[in-house]
Parts: sequence; C-alpha cells; structure tokens
Amino acid sequence: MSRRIAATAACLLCIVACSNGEPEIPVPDLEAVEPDVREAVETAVAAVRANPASAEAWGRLGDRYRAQQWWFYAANCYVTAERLEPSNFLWPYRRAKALQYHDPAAAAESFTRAVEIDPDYAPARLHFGEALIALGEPALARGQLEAAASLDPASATPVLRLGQLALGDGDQETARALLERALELDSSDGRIHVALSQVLLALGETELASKYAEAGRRTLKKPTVSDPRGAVSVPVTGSWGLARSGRSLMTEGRVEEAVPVLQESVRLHPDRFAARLNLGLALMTLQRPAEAEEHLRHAVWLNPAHATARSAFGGALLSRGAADEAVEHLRMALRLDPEDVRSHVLLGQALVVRGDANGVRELERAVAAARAAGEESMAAFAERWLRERRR
Amino acid sequence: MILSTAQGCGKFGAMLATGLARSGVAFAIAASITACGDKTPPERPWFREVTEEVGLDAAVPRWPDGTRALPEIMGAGVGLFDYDRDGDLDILQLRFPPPNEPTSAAADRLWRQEDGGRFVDVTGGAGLGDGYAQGLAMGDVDNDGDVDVFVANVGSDVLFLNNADGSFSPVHEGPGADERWSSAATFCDYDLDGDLDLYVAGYLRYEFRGSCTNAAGEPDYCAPSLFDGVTDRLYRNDGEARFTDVTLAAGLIPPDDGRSAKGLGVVCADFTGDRRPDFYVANDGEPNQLWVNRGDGRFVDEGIMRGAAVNGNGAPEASMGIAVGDLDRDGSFDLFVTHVRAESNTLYVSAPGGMFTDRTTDWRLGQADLDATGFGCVFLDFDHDADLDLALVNGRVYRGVAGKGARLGDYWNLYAEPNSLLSNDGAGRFVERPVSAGAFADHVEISRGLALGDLDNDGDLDLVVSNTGDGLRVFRNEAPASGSHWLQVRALTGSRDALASRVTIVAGSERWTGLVLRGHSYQSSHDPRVHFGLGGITRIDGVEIEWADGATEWFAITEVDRLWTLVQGSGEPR
Repeated sequence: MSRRIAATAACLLCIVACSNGEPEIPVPDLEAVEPDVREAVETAVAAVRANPASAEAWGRLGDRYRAQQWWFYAANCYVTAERLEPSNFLWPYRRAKALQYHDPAAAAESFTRAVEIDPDYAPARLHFGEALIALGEPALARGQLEAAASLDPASATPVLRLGQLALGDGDQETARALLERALELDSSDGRIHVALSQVLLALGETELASKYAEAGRRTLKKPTVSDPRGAVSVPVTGSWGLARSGRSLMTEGRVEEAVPVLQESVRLHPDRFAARLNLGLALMTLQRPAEAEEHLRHAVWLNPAHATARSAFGGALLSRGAADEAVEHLRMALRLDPEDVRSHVLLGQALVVRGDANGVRELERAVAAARAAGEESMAAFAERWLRERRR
Repeated sequence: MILSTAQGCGKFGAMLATGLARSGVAFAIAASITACGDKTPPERPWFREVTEEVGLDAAVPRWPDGTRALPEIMGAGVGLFDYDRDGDLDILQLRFPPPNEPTSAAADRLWRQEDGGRFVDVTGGAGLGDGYAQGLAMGDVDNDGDVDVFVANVGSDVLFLNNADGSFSPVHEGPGADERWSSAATFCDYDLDGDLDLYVAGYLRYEFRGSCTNAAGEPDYCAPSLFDGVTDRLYRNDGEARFTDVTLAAGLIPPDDGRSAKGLGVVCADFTGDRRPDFYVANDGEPNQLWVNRGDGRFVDEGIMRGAAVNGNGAPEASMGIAVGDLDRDGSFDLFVTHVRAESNTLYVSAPGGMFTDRTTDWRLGQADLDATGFGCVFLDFDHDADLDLALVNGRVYRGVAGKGARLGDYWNLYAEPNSLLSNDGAGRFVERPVSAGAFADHVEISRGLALGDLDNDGDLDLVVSNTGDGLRVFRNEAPASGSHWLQVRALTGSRDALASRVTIVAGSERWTGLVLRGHSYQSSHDPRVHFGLGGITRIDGVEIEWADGATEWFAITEVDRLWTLVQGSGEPR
C-alpha cells in the first residue's frame, strides 16, 4: 500500500513540480529491451523533447509506455499531458486506464476528472464503476454502472456488474433479474452464467445452478469492451505485443490480418512459442498447411508436451500425406489430452490414410466422440471425408 | 453528490481531498484512509528473526543467476512436524538444485529441534529425498503414531515412511510413480475409513526449449498459460500405507471442454457442512475447484456455483497459496487465496452450508499487497486478541524494478518483494502492520513457503519462511499479549492427528472454531495443534470437537493458557 501511495503521490507532486518548470521525461531502463521497443520508445521520447509543450506528444509517449505495460511511466506522461491540456478527456481517462489494476485509488481520482469532462462516454462510466468496486465503494460504483448501462443499453457488462453487486449484497431476486437481463444482452459471457449459477444455488434451484455453472466454465473468458478512446494510439511493437495482437486478431476471426503480425513476432523472436503456434494455426485455417508445418514443427520442438501444438502439427503432416509421422504426433496429442476430439478425428483419418486395418473403426469412434462432445460440424466433416475416400 | 470521507492525512491526503472536492464526485478512498487514518497506539515489532540464533544458516550463499526455466521461480515449501516425537517441532526444508545445475541432487534438509530450541541438521542418514522438490504433505499414513512425509516434485514424487528411529524409508510403489510436475499435496481421510488418503495437485506439463520476453521485450519467465496443466491425483489408502490411484473413479478428471487445471495449492476440510471432507484447489490462471465429497467415493466440482472458483468480478485469477480460518466466527471456514501482482488476493467468506462470497474489499484487502505477488499465507491470531490476523509472503514471478533493499544480486533483485503482515481490527477489516511485522517484512526476497507453528512451545505461533535460493528464515512471535489468553488443542484419533476435524471453544456466548489442518498456505505443512487467541477470557466452558468422521464430542475443560491433548472417544458424545 505505502509503495503505491508513494507512487501516486509522486505523480501528483509532479503536477506541482512540473508547473514550476520543464517536466522531466520519464524513461525506463531500456538496456534489456528488444531493439524495436527501444526504438519506438526513443522516437516517442524524442517527439516530446522536440515539443515539450505538446500534450499530444506526451499522450503518445504515455500510450507507448502503456502498450509495453510500463503502467506508472505511462501514468506520469498522461499527468503532464493533462496539465498541458486540462480540458481533454483522453489524458485523465488514459491515466485511469493505465492504473486501474495497479492503483485503483489513483485510477478513481483520474476517472473522476474524466467523467467530469465527458459524462456521456459509457466505457469511462463502466471502468470508473469497476475501480470503485475495487476500492470497496459499491454504492458509488452502482451510480457509475447505472449511468453506463443507460448510455449503452446494448452492453451486458454494466448490467452484469450491477447483478454481481446485488449478489454480494445477498439480494438474490434483484441479482437474478439483472443477470437474466445481462444474459439476454450477451449469452456468450461466461461471467454472467457464473454469477447466475451462484444466485440460483442460493435460491435452492440446484439443477439449474449446475447447468449455468457448467456453461460458465466453458465460456469463462473476459469479453472485450469496445473502448476506442481508451485504446493506445500507437502501433504495438516487440515480439510479445505482436504475438498478443496476432492472437487477438485470430480470436476476432481476422485470421488473414493475423498472419503478418505473427510473422513479424516470429522474426523478432524465433523461439516465441505462442507466436509459432498461433501462426501455424492461422495458416492451417487459411488452408496453407505447407507453410504452417514449419512453424508447428518448431512449436512442437519448443514445447513438446503441448497438446494443441502436437495435434495441429499432426494435422499439417496429414495434409501432405505424411501419415506415419502424423500418427506419431496425434497419438502423443491424445496422450496429453485424451478428451480432445479434434486429435481423435485426425488420428482416425491418419490411420485410414496409411491403410491401418482398424483405421475406419477408429475414425468412426472419433466421429461418435465428436458428436457426443457437441462438435457436430467436425463429425459431419469426418463422415463426409470418409465417404469420399471410400468412393 | 456530496463529498464524503476523502480526508486522508498529511500533504498527500490534503491534495487528494482537494482534488476530489473540486471534482464534485464523492467516494472514500479506502487506501488513503487505511494508510493515514490509523489511530492505534505506537507499534512495536511482533516478530523477531531468530534464524541464526536457533542454529539455521542465516547467510545463504549467493544463488546463481536464473535460467528462466519456470520451476526455478516457483520455489519449494517447508514443513513443521515432530518427526521424533520428542514434543517439539522439527523442520523439513524442501530444496531444488541451483538453476545452473538443474539435474544435480539437492537433498531436502531435516532439522531436528533439540532441548534449548536449537536446530541441528540431521539430513545425513534420514533417508529423505533429493529431487526437484516443490511441496509436501505430512501425516501418519500407517497409523503407527509417527509422522510420514510425501514430497511433491518436478518429476517423480516420493512417499517416505517414518521408521521411528530418526530415518525414513521411501515407498517405491503407489503415489509418485509417474513423472509429473506436482506442486502441493495434502493427506486427508476423505472416505472416513480410518486412514489418511492423499491428494496431489498437478501443475504443468513442462518440457520447454523456448524463451519468453515480457511486454517490453525483456527476457523473463514464461506465463503458465503457455503450458498444459496436469491432472491432480487422488490416492486412496487401502491400509498400511498401500495406496491406489482413484483419480478417475473419484471423478477428478478435467472438465469435458478443456485440459487439466494448473494446481498450486490444496486444502482438505468440510466446506459444505455435510460432515464429509472436501478438497479446495487453488489453480493458476484458471477457476479454483471445490471438490465436494458426495460420500460415495466420488467428488463433484462445485466451486463455480458455490462462489469459490473465481473472484466477485467473475474472473479466474493466478491462485497460489490458501489460508483457511473462521474469520467471521460463524462456524464455517473462509478461504484466502494469494495471487500475482495486479490481481488482489481474494477473500472468499463462507456462509454455513458452503456458499462463498468474495469479501475482499469489505475486509480492506483489495489494495493490500496489490503490487506484490503472494504465495504462502496463513491466518493466525498473532497477538491473542481473539481474532485471526494474516501473514503472507511475496515474490514476483515476472521481473519488475529491483526491490528496494533487495540483496539477492542483479538477477534475482528484479523478483524480490517484502512480506506482509495484516492485523484484524476486530471490526471486519484488515490493517497492514509493517512495523508490527518486524523482521518478517524487513527482508526483500523471493519468498514462497510459509509454515506456522509454536516452535518454542510458549503458546503463540511462530513463522518459518522458505525462499528461492535455498534460504530459510525463522521468526519468533514476540507480540505483546499482556492480559490476553490463549489455548491450544491437539486433537487425536488414535495416535494420529485428527486432520480435518473441527475444534470449537465455547466460553459463554463466545465461540471460536478452528481446524486440525497440516496442509495449507503454499507447498507447506504446519503444526497440527489448533491455536486460539482468547483475548481477556480466563476460563472456558469447554471444547467441542466434530471429528473428521462426523462424530461430535464435548470436553468439559476450563483451563486456558495451556495445550490440551484430546483423544477421540474420550469426550462426552453429542
């Protein structure tokens, strides 16, 4: 606590100190960082040096730091940007976002100013509400969340948060109504299922609670809240950031766009497993198995006990008819993850391709397993494949 | 809106209050109030380091720089047990080899406590392991009256039976036969057949040749999300320490939509009030599991719907250590789980019946240690003021700015953090006590294991910390307890500690409930005696024990400030 308060105090004191003279540009130790990151930081710092009175330049440096997760450096830059341009919503808002999970008290202070400047931006209200929850101020949080829900009635997250607050208060009926409303807005958000399961169990509806718990477990990933004004304005750089961006693009279904981003990540850091794997998966999705094979082979070498890497590599090998090698990797994938129906189906196909006596039976078993797991399209695909092969 | 309570103190507090007033938006910033509004009397250190004084190595040789292989940053635990049955606690220090020699042998060290409180290294001849140790479980698995040890390793685990002559013998069949990365383990008689079974939490499948960098492009440890998890294992004791792997039959299989979880902590207790022991597992980056015992040999994970799997925001967190205790004195056990920095540690408060609610911010724990990565953690009443306080040890898994005051060398300083002590103010809030923590929070190191026990048998609880780099530190409790009273209960079923039994002290309308529990915190094992601080209570009405098998007995004892040994079957049935 004391360390965070000291950091926050330093930020605020900087406003005072900086008002008396030239603000000092915060620069982290760049000795060990990747060259691309260093260059990007140095460019942004140079822009500030060239024009120290430009809030925009300070804001971009803040964004650069935020992109590389130097949260407190980012926050300091936004403080200066805000001092230079006090009426611009972006600076306190971005400072708040930089600090939200690291220093909620300081974040709340900046959110306060941001919503004062623009009370109608729903994501700011939402995140302010979340910061207030983290500070143990549910009553105040509720006001912000209600504002967010009113400003963006299609967004499930503020309603979910209100439901979670009601659940915490023990007001099960209100919580249920709110969470059911949230679920209508976004049935893919596992957090809503989870909270609803807790409400239902408390209300004695055990069976239904169990169903929601299971659904929540399957979809427990935090959905992205669209927040264009809170986003960093600089392109991500460095192999880590590129790997992450590539994966996000894939999650959004923008697989073709993900490929060059992941390729750049691999170029910067050839042994980055996540980039290799996701690049391989993206290329497989784009029906470019020959290119995928190289990356997946490297991914398997880097992380031989990773089930998905093994399975995808087996798939790539099978695509070019290397059934023997594919079987080896797919069997390993299934040892690592016996429940993976995709590996099971691929193994069945590989066995059929190499003419194993029990290949067809194995594939039929895999199809049944896929169907039992709710993977109907995979099951149908495998059946079609088998029919065509028989012809 | 009206400005409420942004008072703060000093220059910073005044600035903050001014800023808030100008904004016209009212909210009380708990952090500033907690930090500056404290009006308690001047503190004095409650813990004094006695590592060297009691004969342990205080000056640990400089640990070689790391190689960024994940196991080297996860640490190893420590266990407190009276292995030679001489009435005082001995120490088992788990170890792993230095980063530059990962395949070399690193013998776990056994320290025997002698008369006068000094510890002597008796590793030689003890016959304990030399693997890549992580966590341990302690308990009498063969009901012969002495404490046996299970060591969870990166690689094969090993069960050691206590030979009652100062040595241990490894059991080569049963638990530990497979090569996995096991993390934490606990003994518990889940099937209530009179012998201790074993739960082993599995962590990752780790055979990595790659390397990782952080967001800034600096070399760093990889995130566990890059690796698949390892299924936890449940071993049923079929008598005389013969164990059968019943993982599948018990239903402890991965959920059908994904891979095994990544377990780092496990505790066994009845969390649902049905008088059957359950398992709570802390998972890294994934929902925690509450395996509810159905009584037919099978378990169902009800962590999500009971509110103990994810935090109040519905987010899974990087869970590591677990503390267990009846914080609000309602007779049910609450859970505190430590996490990586920027995730608060989470307090799951239980209501009778086994529904949990995230009460982290209510208890003012939301910002405590937010900038630290917590591992070992324990609830204990340091100062005998009749409520549970909290100690936790910290150390990053991702590099940061070198910890101020860290003296571990350039490489490890980037991961070093101080430990924390928080005291319960008796009104449902925790307050950080950097001064009271004394030496416990002075060192800026990479701490992992934290074990709790009355090392000097003086009635209060001492702490033992294990650090990355082979270090062990011992802290003696010297909290002022003038006018405060205490009681310890050793609850035995036959000749072994009655793990998972509930002990309730009754004094008029006051009740305190504790748990016979060796396995909690992070990869560590503890004094099984149940400790109670009683404040000004000088006499109690008696002790109720709900034994692990569900039987309840009343013991009409009244004297405080002493240890009572209570044996199942010798009380008055209830």
